[in-house]
Amino acid sequence: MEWYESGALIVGALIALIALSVPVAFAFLAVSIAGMLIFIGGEAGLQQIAVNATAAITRFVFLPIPLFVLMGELFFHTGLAVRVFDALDALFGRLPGRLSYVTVAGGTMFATLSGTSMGSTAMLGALLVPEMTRRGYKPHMAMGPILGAGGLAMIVPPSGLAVLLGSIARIDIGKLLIAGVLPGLFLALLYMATVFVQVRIDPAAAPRYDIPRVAWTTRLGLIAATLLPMGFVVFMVIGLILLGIATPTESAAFGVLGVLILAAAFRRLTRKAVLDSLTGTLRVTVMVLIIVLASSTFSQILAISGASRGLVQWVVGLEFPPLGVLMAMFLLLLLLGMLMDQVSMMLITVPIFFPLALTLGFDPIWFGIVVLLALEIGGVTPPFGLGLFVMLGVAPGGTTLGDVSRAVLPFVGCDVLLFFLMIAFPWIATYLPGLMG
Amino acid sequence: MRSLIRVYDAVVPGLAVVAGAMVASVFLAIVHDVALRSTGFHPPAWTSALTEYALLYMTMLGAPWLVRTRGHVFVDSIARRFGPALRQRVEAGVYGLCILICLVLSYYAIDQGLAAAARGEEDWRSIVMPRWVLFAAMPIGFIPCALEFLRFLLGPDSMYASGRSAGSL
Repeated sequence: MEWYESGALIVGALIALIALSVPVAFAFLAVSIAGMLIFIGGEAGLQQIAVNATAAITRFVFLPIPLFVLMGELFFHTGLAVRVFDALDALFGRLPGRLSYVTVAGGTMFATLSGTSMGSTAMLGALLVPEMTRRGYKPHMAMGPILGAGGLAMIVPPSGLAVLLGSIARIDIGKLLIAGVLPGLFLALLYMATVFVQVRIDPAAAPRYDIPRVAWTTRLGLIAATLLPMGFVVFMVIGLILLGIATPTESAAFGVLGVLILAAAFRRLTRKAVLDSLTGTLRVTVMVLIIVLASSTFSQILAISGASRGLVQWVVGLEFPPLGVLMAMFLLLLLLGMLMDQVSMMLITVPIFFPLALTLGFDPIWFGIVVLLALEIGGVTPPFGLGLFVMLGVAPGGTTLGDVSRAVLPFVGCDVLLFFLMIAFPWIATYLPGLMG
Repeated sequence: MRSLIRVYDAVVPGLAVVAGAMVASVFLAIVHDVALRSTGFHPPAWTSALTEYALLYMTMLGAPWLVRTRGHVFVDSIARRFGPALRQRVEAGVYGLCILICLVLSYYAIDQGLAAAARGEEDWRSIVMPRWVLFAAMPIGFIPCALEFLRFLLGPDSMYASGRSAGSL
């Protein structure tokens, strides 16, 4: 079988099974079993799947996944997130479109304290959509910034997806996490600029309303009592990695410890909050790790069949400029993002894209951030962007998937703009990891 | 038979509770390890090996609970457009395929585990463990998964009842 035939068969069968609503983990396993029977044959292949599965996730590098998720779950279930939001709300004063700005600022802050984007999106949506609707904001001014800012958690550390990407692509996870800081902040600024432009074009989209004036002393008090303590958690994760005191895995555990200490200090640490957080963590962790376990043989089959090597040689032989290949990979990721969830698309594309990117001379950390950016966009593109469904769940009655998709479009534009900025100025993603030596 | 089903009904969330306790234990073990190391004491050798094992066990112990609570990721945006009869047949096919996969993997994991035990194979990490312990996790998770899919296949409930899968990173 030629490499393109086997590649099309493997990837095509996987996508067909996923499209037929087979749970993603089981679709990977089905393709692995069939692939092993075809390309290795006999029982040896099936025995190899069992061996691969046991080795796939028993790796220390995967430990931040449950811990980053636990950190975010505790942050939301203890009510610390609401406390942060209330403080930001008071700080923004009478700015036109203030609630949209509060959304972006809150989403950025939540992203630095949580390893999952869905938690952020659900939290921002539940808190802000009713208030924005009550204040007469047009739906796009509420839903767009929430979806944009909610997705920041995929790029801004701590990010469970970044850990997963780093471990699958075998790149330095600490550097990949730190590399997400500047692109994340750039995106937040681009989102703020988008809100500014939207309000200037259509002031009625975010009507002004009277709010009680908050004294400067009160504002300073809020910063000192609520926002600055959150910096402690950020330090526990990012600071410890940057200082070289802790590995990403250890810093994830200390991030959890930081949230627990803060929750206890604010008297928000309850038995129910801890149990709910553990349940939520287990749900996401099992869901993600079983897909990783199931896909452990997938990249091996791509290699054994010659599909990945054949594709790399073919693309290199075409002598396309590397930027053209990069665009094609980015577009393919965007396309896949419309069809499946981020973890699945990462596991399908990373074994193919990373060898290609390295052959073409791209910096692996920089390329990792490009992939995360594409995944973030995939999280809000129909029909399978989970963020869209989370938003539909909290949007006012009568809101359609089309309304939500249109609202997020300018923010997806910001993501695409950042992609081009990162091509023009690669230091956006490489400067901070470069400091780590 | 009924009491057997009642016991099994309690086993699936019971396994999930153990998995949840593993998440908490992993956190405590790592904090304990780093705290000892940074204060000049020797951290225990077992931390990294047992936390790695915990990743596999928490995943496999939580997997049947995730099937029962419809938490596995799936894409039903295309299958949702099928007519009711075709949809039902596709669903039955999906459950059947998932049961087959669970049983095949359980069989080969047991086969490999028994072979590893007979050969006395060891898994060398920060501590040495018998290798069959790794293989044992798979049937513990996949056999109840097969039973959960069988319930969807034979019973009135649908795994797709909630309309979409929940949660992601």
